[in-house]
Amino acid sequence: MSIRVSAHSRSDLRLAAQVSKPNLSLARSIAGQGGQVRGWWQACFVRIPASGFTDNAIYPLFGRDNGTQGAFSANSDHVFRIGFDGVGSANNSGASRLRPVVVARASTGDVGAAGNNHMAAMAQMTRSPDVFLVGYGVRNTGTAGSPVWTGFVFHCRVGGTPSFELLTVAAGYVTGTTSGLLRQVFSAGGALTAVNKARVTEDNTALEHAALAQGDFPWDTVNNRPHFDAIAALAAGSGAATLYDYADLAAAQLAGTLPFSNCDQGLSEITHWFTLENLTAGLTNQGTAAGDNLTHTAQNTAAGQINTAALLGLADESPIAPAHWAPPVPVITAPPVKFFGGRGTATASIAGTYASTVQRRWERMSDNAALAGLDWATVTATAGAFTVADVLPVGGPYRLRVRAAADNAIVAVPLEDVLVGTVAVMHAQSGMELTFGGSDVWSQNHINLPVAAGAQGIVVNLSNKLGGSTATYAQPLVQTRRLIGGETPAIRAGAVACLNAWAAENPGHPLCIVNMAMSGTAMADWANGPNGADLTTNGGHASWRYMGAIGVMPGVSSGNGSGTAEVMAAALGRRADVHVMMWHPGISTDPAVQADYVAKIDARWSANTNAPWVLLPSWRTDNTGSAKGVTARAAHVAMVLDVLGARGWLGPHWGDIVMDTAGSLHAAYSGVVVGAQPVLDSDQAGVFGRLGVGVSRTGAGIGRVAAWVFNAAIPVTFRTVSAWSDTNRATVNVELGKPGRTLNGAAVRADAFHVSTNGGSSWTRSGFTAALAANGTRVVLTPADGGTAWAAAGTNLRIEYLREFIDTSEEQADEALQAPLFDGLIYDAGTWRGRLGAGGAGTVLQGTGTGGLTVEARQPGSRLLTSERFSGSRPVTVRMMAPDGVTVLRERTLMIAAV
Amino acid sequence: MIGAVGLVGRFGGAVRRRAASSVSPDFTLTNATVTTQWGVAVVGELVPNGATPAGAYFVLVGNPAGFAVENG
Repeated sequence: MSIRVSAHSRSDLRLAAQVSKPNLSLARSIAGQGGQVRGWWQACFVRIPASGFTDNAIYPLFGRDNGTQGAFSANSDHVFRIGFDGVGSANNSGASRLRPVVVARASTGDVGAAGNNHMAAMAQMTRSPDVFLVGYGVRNTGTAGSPVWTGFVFHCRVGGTPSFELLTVAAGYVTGTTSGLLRQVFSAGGALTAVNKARVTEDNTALEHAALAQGDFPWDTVNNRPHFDAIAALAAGSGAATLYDYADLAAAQLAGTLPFSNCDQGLSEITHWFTLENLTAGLTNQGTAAGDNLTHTAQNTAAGQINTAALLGLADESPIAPAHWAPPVPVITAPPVKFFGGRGTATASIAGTYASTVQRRWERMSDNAALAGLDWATVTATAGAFTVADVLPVGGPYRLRVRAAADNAIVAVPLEDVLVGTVAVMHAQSGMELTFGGSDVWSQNHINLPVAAGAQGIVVNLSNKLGGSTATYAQPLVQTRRLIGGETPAIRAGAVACLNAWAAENPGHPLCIVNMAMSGTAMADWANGPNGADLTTNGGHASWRYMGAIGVMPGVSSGNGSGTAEVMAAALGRRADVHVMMWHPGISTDPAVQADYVAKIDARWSANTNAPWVLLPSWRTDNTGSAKGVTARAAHVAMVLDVLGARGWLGPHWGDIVMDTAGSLHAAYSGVVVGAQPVLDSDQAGVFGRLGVGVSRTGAGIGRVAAWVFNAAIPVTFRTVSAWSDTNRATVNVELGKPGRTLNGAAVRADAFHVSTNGGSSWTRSGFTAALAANGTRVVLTPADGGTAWAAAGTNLRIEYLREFIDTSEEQADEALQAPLFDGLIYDAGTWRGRLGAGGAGTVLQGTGTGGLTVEARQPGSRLLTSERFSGSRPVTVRMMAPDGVTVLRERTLMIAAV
Repeated sequence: MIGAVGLVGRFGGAVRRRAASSVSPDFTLTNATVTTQWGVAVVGELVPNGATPAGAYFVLVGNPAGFAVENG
């Protein structure tokens, strides 16, 4: 900003007392250096109005007047004026020219000829929009012991070439001390009824960065003139290789580092520097004479004079100085991901740069209101840097504002769209990864699934997730995609469904989905590669790894040994709130490797090493009883029980989520269209009335599971709890945890049940029928051989119920045709058809080990069971029903304590 | 009719006032503490009283988190 005269003769900017001219012959201390026999100089940026200057006028800009009357012609004044002479008056600046006119006079002497000095030899100045740096002063061009005093005037159009003229210094001037070097900026004159061209600053004259320095301006010793390179450095003159403001120039003089040839560097102390950026902060002295500030002062207020209202006539104006004079502003360093985990209890730290103290304010972007307790407050900057560190409430999007404490008009570009909530980190390989997009792409939102109203989230991925190829490096970079309520983002629908399911349980609580999973990788690749280091990514560049060295980021030409986990952790402030994992088939069966993986993740996501882990055990239903599948499932369970301990959560069977069959565990995400509707992944929108089988279903399940971790009251869905036989295995009754049903009158599908006669090593789902009991509490399996084989199996007979049996549903399922096959599945009363087991929290299936219910003898009575791990006490309401299934015989609410 | 939906409490109380020997169907839980796990754990047995008709069974009201009922 600058300040311009909006109406002349009203007011000026005035010091309480003049700055007197020192006795130049006496050694002084300047810039902390004693014994200095030096002069002084003043400078300012000025923009001459496009019109208004009239013939034979000399308009004052700054200096010291006599008695506040704008009369500069007395013997003791200094003033810088711009003169205009349209007729070539000998007393003014020459024919039709604008030139500086200076009065530099001590009470006993003068600089130059007596009276006004008209710089006839200088290049003429030009009007607005051009801007000039103008200056004048007196310099010792000799030595301290043998001073030679030279007066000088210069100007330089911003972007132009300097011009100068020298002035003779009268002997008496050097020692005089009664005259004033500076009293005011602008001049409003006195006792006027119209503009007095000699006493007032003309309308629309703009000034900025007015300064007074004690000392000597840099001097060109060859050309005997103020050094043009120094002038150009201040004015961003043509060819300027270096740019300075006053402080920069003075500092370089003090250090002797001015990079100019033939230069007597001189020494300057900027005692007065008024930025004039506006009529408030711009009047504060930025020089070393701190506190000697300008005051906006009304003039000509007497009755009958031109100014009838005080403090008019000056106005803030856009900056006129070159860009390098703009005051440095605080800069907020945007975090790679504008999301802070910790669920509203962790400190969100945001760094920034600024030379001095700043203030910060957090506000809601929705209404721009400050967050409670987080309005403007001071943040201390140290060594040019500051850190805003606040505990923010769950929610957003928020905006962070930062401004200079000393000048509230100096503001940083605000940081916007900041969310605070829960960070969920997804682990494993493609089955998980593809739910939220591919390894390097966001993919498409095939079903145009919108983000639920009010939901807020963000998905974090990496570009070049492999670090390029084995031959060519490509820098991995953090990428984000915002999910905003009501919008339909271009991202795989699983991410949207995940957020929506989360938001349904956590309204107003943003979720950050970190897609750390990577296709085709084994846990051991991440955890303990050769020589204890994690491996290079499969098919990726050798300089880039899975875990990555802590504190190292990939560069432009090398991965630097960093890796996926490290980069993502660093991007989120190393804070994860929950880890979610489905790692089939690559999970390690070695507890030591599992523990190593967890430890290395915790080392990188180190801000919360108590974050819970939810594992979603998988089970391949290939009918062959794949040992690999069973083993992988057991490894998931064992990791929860034996490695993660209290942090471990055994989530629902992945099949409850993915409804995949052939073993890839990839949820459908194809955009195949039949007729006018996509046939896959379509039901999350609730439009087509069919089952969701694709990534939207997977995502919804993961979102709900994540919610379950923080709210165990999210109810379980259907599950089986025990199996028994009282017919020597001619029939086996599978007890359901709660009454189940089928849809559309369909018979329960027997091939949803898996049977093992060898303790879980292999499984079959044929050779028997299944029937749902009338009251829905159990399913009766009847083997075709009358129970011979099942009886022979003894304790090795196991029963499993898996709802992921629909053949051909994998990835390219024709959902429209397959939908009726789902009618025969078992649903609990509260489960909507399209969301069968969709992340049904707590559907842990049949416990631990290799899976399956052992077939016991019939229990003599009924039992209340728990089906998941919890602590504390929970109420449960049990109802005793009459055989008719309608009459309630008794209902009791019981408080059950976990011990 | 004893045990009609929604009338259990009211009729039970009336019966007790009218004839002390008349007992309504009821049940007890033999234990109210449990060591939970990732899988099924037994809290206790649901034991009907003598007034409960044969074939009665138990269900949970609502969809309580982490509980199930097994009917033997």
